[in-house]
Amino acid sequence: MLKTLIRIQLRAQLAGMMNRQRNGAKAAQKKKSATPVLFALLMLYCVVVFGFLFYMQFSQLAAAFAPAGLGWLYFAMYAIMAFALMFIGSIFLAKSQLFEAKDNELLLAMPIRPGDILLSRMVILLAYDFVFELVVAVPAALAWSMEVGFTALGAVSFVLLIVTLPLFSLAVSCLFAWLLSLLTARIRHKSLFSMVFSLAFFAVYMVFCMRINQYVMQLAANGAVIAGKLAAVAPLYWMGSAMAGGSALQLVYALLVTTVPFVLAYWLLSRAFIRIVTTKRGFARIRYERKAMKRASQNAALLQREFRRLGACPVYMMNCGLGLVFMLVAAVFLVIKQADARMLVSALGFPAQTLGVIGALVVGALVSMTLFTAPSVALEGNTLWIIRTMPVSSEQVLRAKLRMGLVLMLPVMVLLLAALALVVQDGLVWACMSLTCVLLAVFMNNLGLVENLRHPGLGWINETQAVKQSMSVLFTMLLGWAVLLAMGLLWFLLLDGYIPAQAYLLIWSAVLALLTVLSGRWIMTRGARRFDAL
Amino acid sequence: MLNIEHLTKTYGDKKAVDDLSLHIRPGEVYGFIGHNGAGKTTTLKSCCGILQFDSGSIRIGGKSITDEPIACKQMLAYIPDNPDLYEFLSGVKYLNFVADVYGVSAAERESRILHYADMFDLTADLAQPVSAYSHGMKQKLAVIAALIHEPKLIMMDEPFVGLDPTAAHQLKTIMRQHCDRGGAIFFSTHVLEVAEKLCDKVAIIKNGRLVASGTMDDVRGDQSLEEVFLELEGEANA
Repeated sequence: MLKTLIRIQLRAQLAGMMNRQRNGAKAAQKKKSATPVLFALLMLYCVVVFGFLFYMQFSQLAAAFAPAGLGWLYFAMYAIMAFALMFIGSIFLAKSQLFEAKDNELLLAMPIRPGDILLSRMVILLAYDFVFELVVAVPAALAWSMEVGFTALGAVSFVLLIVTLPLFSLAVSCLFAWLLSLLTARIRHKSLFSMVFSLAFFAVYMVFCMRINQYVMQLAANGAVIAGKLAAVAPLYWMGSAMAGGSALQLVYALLVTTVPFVLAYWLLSRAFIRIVTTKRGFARIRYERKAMKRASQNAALLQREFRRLGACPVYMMNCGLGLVFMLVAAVFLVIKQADARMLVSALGFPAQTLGVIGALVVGALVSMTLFTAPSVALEGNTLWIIRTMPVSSEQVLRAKLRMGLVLMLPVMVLLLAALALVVQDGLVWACMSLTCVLLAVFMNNLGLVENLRHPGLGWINETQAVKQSMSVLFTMLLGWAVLLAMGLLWFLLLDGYIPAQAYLLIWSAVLALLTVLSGRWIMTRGARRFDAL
Repeated sequence: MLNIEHLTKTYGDKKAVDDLSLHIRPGEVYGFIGHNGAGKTTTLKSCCGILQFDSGSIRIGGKSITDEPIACKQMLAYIPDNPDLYEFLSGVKYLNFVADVYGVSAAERESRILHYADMFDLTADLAQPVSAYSHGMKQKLAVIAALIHEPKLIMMDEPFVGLDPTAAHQLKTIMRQHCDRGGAIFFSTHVLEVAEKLCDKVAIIKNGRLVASGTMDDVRGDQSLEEVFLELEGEANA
């Protein structure tokens, strides 16, 4: 039974990632697509990029710790980093996969042990954790091998702990996810709470990421002192020592430390699983009080529908609106710290012209993280019939999706561009940069919808799957990066010094305007037909 | 009101609906009966513009659903077998959204919402999020949403599933009243007793093909509808 459940879970995950059509007949008719290969290549690319970044950090640590005989601290740092990445990567996924899956009640009604249902879902999370861990583990192993080299016991310990460390991380993230679902179930404004919690969580993570170099340098400089303090944390010491080639006993302790919490968490959650997923808590009953009703136009109602869907889904807000948060933070930072920003710009020594291109690239990077339209068709899910039976055209529905993205993005972008005027002081360069940025935003907004119409994926199990694991979101983001890469490379490798930045930005504005018109036409013609056929 | 001519819809190699023709006039409650997978839902979904069909034509109030989908949809309402509604809205917000899309005035929507919500005992729960509704409450909300713009034609897929006896009775009354006012109802059901009591006409579909249709008296003759249905099923299986 467990094998069957795991197989079903795997299929659901893969279908979600590939955004497979809901209509089986249609899917059967589809030709073999290159999508899975492309998806795997994109994932590989991300893994390599992040792996390289970690390799740089670990090389510094290995060079500092190995001569000081602090090998155990090096591996303790590896364990902490791997754990942090696994925990951050899987906590929200754990909440939705374990406790909010649509098919929990269906499966519980079958003669299946709740523990098996839980375990089948945990195995999937474990697979994700392994991927996250390998992004850290491979560079850590490579850096250590280049600098020092593993002993036989160290290598065995490293491999065994690669297997068991995700178990520990999974135990912690599952328990946190349980706590989170308990809290959100009791709170009336669930979306707001989840959003604030996610933002706070993300802020801590970002601060950690931004300071990681500083931490690494501090670690390298004060290894002995930190080692003295961390050595008191016995589990970390056992893990680090075992991988650095310490003793077999330390390896046994480390294995126990990583596996026992998982066994305990599984035991605890499997005992409470039925209660957790079937108890409806905290729905404070809101009694309807008669109020005057107002009439809105069709288009206003459609737009409002998009906003309400967004407002009710923290995962959608967080994953697709992150760029907006960054834009706002950047605008505020530029205004408050304008002297520092100007000093930084002059220290970097970029001419005003280049600054315009850099500004466009930075704003463009933030735009590529603002992807409201990319899962907007998928999120219709099982409720697609409502809009399809109503007297509104597909064009109207799609236009409302585009409008929501622009209404959210453009005002914040205008704020950021206005703040950028404090740094990019050549008025003409700033104007050209602003035009490029606005057109890029409109194009990316269109691109998200194009991608989602091409990969609709309506058959999701939970909204997280539609938003976080969809091909359309990933493709939109990567295509956005490709545009920015082309913009940056062409300027810095070929055209810098040959044509003025204003002209370069205007050329890009023209290209983006053309792409916007073409993608807009596609949406309103072929895209609308695709939407009709969903 | 609804003219279906030679409707054919295939999924891959399987013909879900095969050359089906039906005519539903104003004032008629038209029942649609058939075994599971017979093609009832496919027919209903094709009629309300959710599914694109392979051949044939569907006209609502004289307008083609293929050529003038918006005009057709303005005249109809559809209630699916499984009321998946917007869980991110409250009941009243959902009804207001539907009313906005159909262009129902503020005064009309207010009186209709309160009238039907009172009838289905849903008024107190209108401010609740749809996600907190039971299956039956969602079904009631879907019925109210279908009635909010006073459509000429209502298409329902198993409308009584999930409704309590009182709500089911209210729905039957509403269906009758709607048709007495000149509207038409085309609905699928497996409850033959309901069809027998409620319908003016009935159609029986088997493997996508129409096997019997007409007034209730024409179809059942001296037998009960159940006996006729089982007989036709047996003939088709033989």
